[in-house]
Amino acid sequence: MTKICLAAPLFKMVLAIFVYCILIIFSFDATAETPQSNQVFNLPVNESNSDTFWQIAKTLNQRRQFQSHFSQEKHIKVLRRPLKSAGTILFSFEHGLCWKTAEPFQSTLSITRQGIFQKKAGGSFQAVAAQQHAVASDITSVFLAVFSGEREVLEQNFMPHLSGTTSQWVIGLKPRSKMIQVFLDAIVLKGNSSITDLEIWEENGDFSLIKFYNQETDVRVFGEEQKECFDF
Amino acid sequence: MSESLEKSKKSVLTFKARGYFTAWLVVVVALALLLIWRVNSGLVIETSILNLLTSPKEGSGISATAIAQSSKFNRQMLFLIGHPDKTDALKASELFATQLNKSQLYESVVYKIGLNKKALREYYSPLGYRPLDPKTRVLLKQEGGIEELLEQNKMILYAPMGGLGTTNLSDDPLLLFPRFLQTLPALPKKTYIADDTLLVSGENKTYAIISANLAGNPFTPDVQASALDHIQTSIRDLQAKYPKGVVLYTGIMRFAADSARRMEKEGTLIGWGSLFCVLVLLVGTFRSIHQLALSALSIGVGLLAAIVFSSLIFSKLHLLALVFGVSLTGICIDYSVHYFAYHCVAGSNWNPQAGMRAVLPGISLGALTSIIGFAGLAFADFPGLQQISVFSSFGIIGAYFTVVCCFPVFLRKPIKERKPIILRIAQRILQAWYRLRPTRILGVVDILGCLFLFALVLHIKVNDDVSLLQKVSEPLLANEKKIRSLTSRSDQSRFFLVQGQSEQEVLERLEILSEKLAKSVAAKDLKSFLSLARFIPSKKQQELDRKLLAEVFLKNRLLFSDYFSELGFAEDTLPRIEKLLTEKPTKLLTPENWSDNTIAAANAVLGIGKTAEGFIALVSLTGIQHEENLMAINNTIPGVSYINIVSEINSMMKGFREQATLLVLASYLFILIVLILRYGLRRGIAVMIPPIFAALIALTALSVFGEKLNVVHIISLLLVLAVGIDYPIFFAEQKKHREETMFVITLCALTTICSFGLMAISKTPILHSFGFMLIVGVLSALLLAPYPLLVFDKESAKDNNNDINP
Repeated sequence: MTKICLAAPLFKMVLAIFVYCILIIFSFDATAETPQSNQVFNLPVNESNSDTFWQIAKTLNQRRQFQSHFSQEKHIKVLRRPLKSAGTILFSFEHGLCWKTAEPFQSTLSITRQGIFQKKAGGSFQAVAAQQHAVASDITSVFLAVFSGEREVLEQNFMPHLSGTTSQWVIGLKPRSKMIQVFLDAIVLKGNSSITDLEIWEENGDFSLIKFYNQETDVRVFGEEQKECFDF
Repeated sequence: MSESLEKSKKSVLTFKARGYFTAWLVVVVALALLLIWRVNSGLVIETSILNLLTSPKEGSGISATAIAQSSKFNRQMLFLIGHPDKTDALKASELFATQLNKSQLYESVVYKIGLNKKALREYYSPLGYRPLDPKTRVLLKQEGGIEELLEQNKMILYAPMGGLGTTNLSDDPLLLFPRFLQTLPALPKKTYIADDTLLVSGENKTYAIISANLAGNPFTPDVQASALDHIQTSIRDLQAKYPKGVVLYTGIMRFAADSARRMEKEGTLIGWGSLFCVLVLLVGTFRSIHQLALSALSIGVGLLAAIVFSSLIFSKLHLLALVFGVSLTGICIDYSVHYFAYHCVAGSNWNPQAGMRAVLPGISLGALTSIIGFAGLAFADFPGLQQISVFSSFGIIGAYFTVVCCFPVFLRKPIKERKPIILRIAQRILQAWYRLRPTRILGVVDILGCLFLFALVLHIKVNDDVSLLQKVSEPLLANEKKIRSLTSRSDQSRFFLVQGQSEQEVLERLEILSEKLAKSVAAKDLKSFLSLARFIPSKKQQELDRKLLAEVFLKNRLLFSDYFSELGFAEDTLPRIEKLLTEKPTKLLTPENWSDNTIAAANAVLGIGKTAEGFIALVSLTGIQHEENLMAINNTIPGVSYINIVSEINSMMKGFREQATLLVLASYLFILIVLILRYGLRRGIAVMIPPIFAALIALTALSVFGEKLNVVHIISLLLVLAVGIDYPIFFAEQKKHREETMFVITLCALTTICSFGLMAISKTPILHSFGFMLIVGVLSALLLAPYPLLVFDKESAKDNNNDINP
């Protein structure tokens, strides 16, 4: 773990969460409802737009840490209404990703290289150490590599799609790996200078829509915050 | 007149001799027919060293079935297909695995291990939606545990993008199944899955891991040869397509084949070398190949009798017992040599019957003592020792009767009297002994010498390490080390063995053991363990879990109702879940078909096996740190035992050695009694002294050279004793022709040294010391052989004095 690549914060966040997904699902049958409505999947990244794609990736890569508010709607088929939540996310290249939910209840979810940790307001937490789940740690490292802009690794794991320009874009990612396909159908990212929307389409038809707003890029993670998010 | 009388006398005797010969011929033909019948009805030859050592009577410790079970480990082969490029590594592994599959040499080849969720779901369907993992079980039993569980569920459901398959959510709103799956043992450390293949990275390469189980017994040469050939061809094919590809592989089979190949190479060299030496010795001495042919005949008939009777007595013959048996039968050549020597020295005065009369008492008593010596081993608990005993005894009987019945018929022509070099050597030895006049201090010297040697022998160290029997080559060890460091494989020689009367009993015991082992992991006694109990709960546990869930549900109905409505579950969820949790299931999960599923293959977890005594399962262990703490678990749970195959085998070797030693001592005590009955107390002891001294000297030499005693040495000592006792008996039975007798003994000793002494050049340490001990022992026995003459002369002088002065 010497030199870890430059990671684009949001990309990393999204993908780190996949790790979480792997840990809690891989056993559910469903007929998939693909996000075909999204036009981006008609536009695979090819010679004509690959420059644009890699330029966007590069821009996102340049931010080592940031903070943002989010609101999320999670659509689970079985449940009669979407689960709505809101809070802030904190990303630090050094430490990892911390997802602090404020509504409807307080909880913290941290995804680090050491594993995935969930904290309740009361202080108790569940942990899944990365070492215990080789798949998880492997995928984490693969994704880290992806965000370093390693084209080969990215192309090996995802089929990228792109519409729009470098100032207003939609990126669609379809997993190539069967391990990821088990639970993930596609990811859609929308943004301009930063990511504004994230859609996660699961293999069983469930999906999450997340909006980001009030982003601050110039943040430092230390003190109480660091303790709360990344010290276990 | 006198000539014709002599001729008629000869012809009468020849007629009698012909009778013996005919009888011998009938027996040999019968034996040959029996052998053909046995071979046709399927004569089984064993090669696994474990079966040689396994005592069927043993009550405690390792049982034959345990060893049989561990043979599952023995069949495992592991292949690592490496390439600097990951994609190519994957493609190459696919190619390699297809080739392995096509070969039909393997029972199973596993390289695609993607966890097929549908198959997984189906496999666990009898559990419904209420499997409990140990953590959740503990949580539910706690005060406020259910509140905690529901809180956690909410966090999981609300977690950003922590998606959950909703179709199951309606049947499993408590998320019990994902919890259960999550706690299933993870993949081995450092490995990861990509494209459904287990991978590991190291040394700038990505390695795809393929595991395969051989279809045949890994100890049989056929299986070894065809599997290794096929692997080599497959590697060549792979490298033709992917020049940067490398294949690392390991498995017990590879080690077994390696040691077998080296043994074979060495065995051929030693075998031909010995034959050449004996040939030179016999032809050089007798100047005729007639003797050689007759020696071969006597040994051949000896082996025939040995094989036929052993195969009639034992259902399976062990290769190692055969090898030792053949060695011991090799001393039969002494009886032939005895007769030839008389023939050689007699010159024109040769009379085959008279010659036989001269040698008969010596070789008869020699054969009898050897048979007594070997027969003792028949009382051993170990099938290996019993087989050596039966094989050698019948071998000696066969060879003895061939010499007695057949040689006078074939060796009728006299030859020119000659004085071969060996005769001159014999004379020198004898003369040296004559210079030692019988003195009063003789007995004192004996006792002191014996005590001195005995004191040296007491210093000898014992080593029953089975690894001495096999030597692993350096490149193979390096290869194994590399694979181990890449994959962190489980320790295949140390594991827990769980036995029970039924599958369910085994599962219940596995559960208790798993609980204890989980504590051991926490205490860092070992890194991890793999048990079937983590995958399949026993029926008892399933019933307990169901009761626990029903109880928790009924107690907290209101809480559940709130949870469902808060999250927006369908209206009917509460009654549906109540029914699901409280009703008795129609079907329970059982370990049937376990080994057919992908989780079993991916985790290499062995299922429950059936044995003659019941059912059996293994728990594999990785990274054992404090073995003594694991051994402490041993026998605290009924039917559970900690097995360390290496130390088990070593302790069996110890038992083998101790029993062999005791039986050899007992046999020779019995021989001493026979000798005392025949010769009287003093003379009897005198005859016994040379072989005992020879054995002590051989042991001393072993001790001086810093070697450690082990069962193979005991067998070589047996050979030294068997050979060594014949020599003084030849003297004791032959009062007149001392020079001829010494000539016989010298020739016998040299042939024995030539036959077995070449083992001293072996690179296998144990064979080397076997040969070495034999050379020292037989040489000492040769030099000490005339010793009883001193006592005999002294005694007869005394007798004569008594006669003169009554």
